[in-house]
Amino acid sequence: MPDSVVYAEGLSKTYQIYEKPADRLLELATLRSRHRSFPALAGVSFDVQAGESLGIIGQNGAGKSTLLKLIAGVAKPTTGRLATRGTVASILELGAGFHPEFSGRDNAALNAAILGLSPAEMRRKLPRILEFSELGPFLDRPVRTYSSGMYMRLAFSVAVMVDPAVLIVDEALSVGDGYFQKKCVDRIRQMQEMGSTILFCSHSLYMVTTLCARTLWLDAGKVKRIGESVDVVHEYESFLLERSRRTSGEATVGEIAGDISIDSVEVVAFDGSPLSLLADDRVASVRARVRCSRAGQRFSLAFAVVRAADELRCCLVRSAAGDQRFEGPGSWEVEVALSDLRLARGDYGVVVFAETPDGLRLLARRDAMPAFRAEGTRFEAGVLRLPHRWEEAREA
Amino acid sequence: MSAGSSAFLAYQLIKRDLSVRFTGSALGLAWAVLQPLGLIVLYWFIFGIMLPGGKLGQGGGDYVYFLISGLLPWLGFSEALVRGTTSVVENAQIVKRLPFRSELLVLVPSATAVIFELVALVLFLALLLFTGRFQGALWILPIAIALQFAVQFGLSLVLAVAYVIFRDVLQLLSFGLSVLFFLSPILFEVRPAFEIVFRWNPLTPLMGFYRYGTIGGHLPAWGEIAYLVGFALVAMTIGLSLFRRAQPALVDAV
Repeated sequence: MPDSVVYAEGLSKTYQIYEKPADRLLELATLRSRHRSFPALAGVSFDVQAGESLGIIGQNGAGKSTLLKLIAGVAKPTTGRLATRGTVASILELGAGFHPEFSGRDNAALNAAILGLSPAEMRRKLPRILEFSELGPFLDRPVRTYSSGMYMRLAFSVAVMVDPAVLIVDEALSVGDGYFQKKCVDRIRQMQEMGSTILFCSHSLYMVTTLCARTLWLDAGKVKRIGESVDVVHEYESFLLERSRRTSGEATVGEIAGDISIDSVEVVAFDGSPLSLLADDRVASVRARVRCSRAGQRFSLAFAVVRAADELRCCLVRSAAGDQRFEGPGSWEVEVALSDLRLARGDYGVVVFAETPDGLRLLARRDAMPAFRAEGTRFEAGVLRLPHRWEEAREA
Repeated sequence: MSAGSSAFLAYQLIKRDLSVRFTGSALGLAWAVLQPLGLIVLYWFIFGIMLPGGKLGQGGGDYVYFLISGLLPWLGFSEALVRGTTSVVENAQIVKRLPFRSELLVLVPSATAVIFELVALVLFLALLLFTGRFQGALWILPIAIALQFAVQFGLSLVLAVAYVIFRDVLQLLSFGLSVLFFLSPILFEVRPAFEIVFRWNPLTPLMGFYRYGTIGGHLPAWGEIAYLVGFALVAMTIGLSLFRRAQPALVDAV
């Protein structure tokens, strides 16, 4: 591969796990194996072209961080071939090896030196690093006094301002305030434009899709899929969904107070049939059966539509506060008709809550997760699907 | 990583180590002098005054100078070994995250120990000149320091690798150092009848070098010198090659 910046072929990494330190000594003495092998990566092949950005996704323990460590040259593969071009690969991760007693300024200088900066480059780049961090007077205070957001600022500033040939971002953008996050994303885009190669590992699938054209999905140390981000991410989302469906079944977090139970929740279409795909009429009705055994117990109900991938609550409808709709004992069937559901592509669930009339205490809850799917193009992102129209006119 | 930027990184790491050593303590850098001074006073009182004085070192009445000339290199040596042993584990955050030659982390304690030792030696030489007791040959001191550095760096590399895998090494080391302290000619001069007990110890000729360079006396025998030089070279060679070979495993195990 002539233009590959990162080229991996059959990459494997196996860790040896010892239960106790003494086992290692015994193994040396007796020459009998006393460890377990844990294959963190098994036969991973891919390549990254110069100037390309590759997203890396997968569940916890899938081998993402191990892979990044190999690429950064921190750890060595057990078997397989890995070639990287370009001198500096800076890995960006929370707690990027700062000394807590040291000032931010000194830590930045040391980190930059570890990444291979020469004295001349240091003189040129250190001021830019410090300026980018916007830590101002805090730069002269020990890093142990920093908040996690300030820590991230410093780490990010070093990692991006040393102008690495390959920038590796490992789940680092999740902390920090919105302003700095945006600054980081802007900087990453700027580096992309300048032709840097970026490996971006994150659980934020939205970030992965927007920053990377291609995405690698790791599962249990193997490449599950590699390809265009929108496709891979969508498949991964479906996979996550399928898994939660398997583990949770069709519903339930039953009763909380004991007196009230929500016995069923279903989502039906306009004609009363169970809804699995939101149709063009964008209408869905939620039906719930509620039972209350205690006399005099008052409660009201709330219905939420939830995005299955991240449990984002898209909307919550409840009866007006103070409106005591229900009083036990008794059982009810309640239906809420939701119309004009302009939901973007994805899987959605419904959650029904029974709460005290003031809305302050939860009495019972039942989930139907996921309940239905909304269609759309794979280029959509977000929750809402708004009617829109493009207009453009070339200016003279 | 080029040799130039490695040297620059080593410089940065040593600078960090020097300034971080005493940060947070009120007396700061003064400890670098106060600690050895306290030990000198203690040993001088016990071995120079309380026990029959003057019989332990050379030339009768100057026991305190004899003591200092041996104790300063010993303090540097033992500190380098202890801190070198733990250096990789203590910097696990860096070793696990950043790609670089981590033997530099082991080099740093050896280097800072020598720097502090040098400061103490200069003060000691000033004292000798001031009291008119300087009879040494200064030219030998750089050689002595270089040999000491090679021995302690080489041993530290081996110990650092071992410590990552077996944390028991630190226990063994502190025990070993207290034995070595008494099996080196620091508090006393070796009597010919017992030379065999000290002959295996490369610190014996090393102490001889330091004494020859400060308070005067004889150079160690050629055989002893050859042993010390050989030991230093072997320690460095084995240490470096072992460390380079073990480094990938260290990243996984630390």
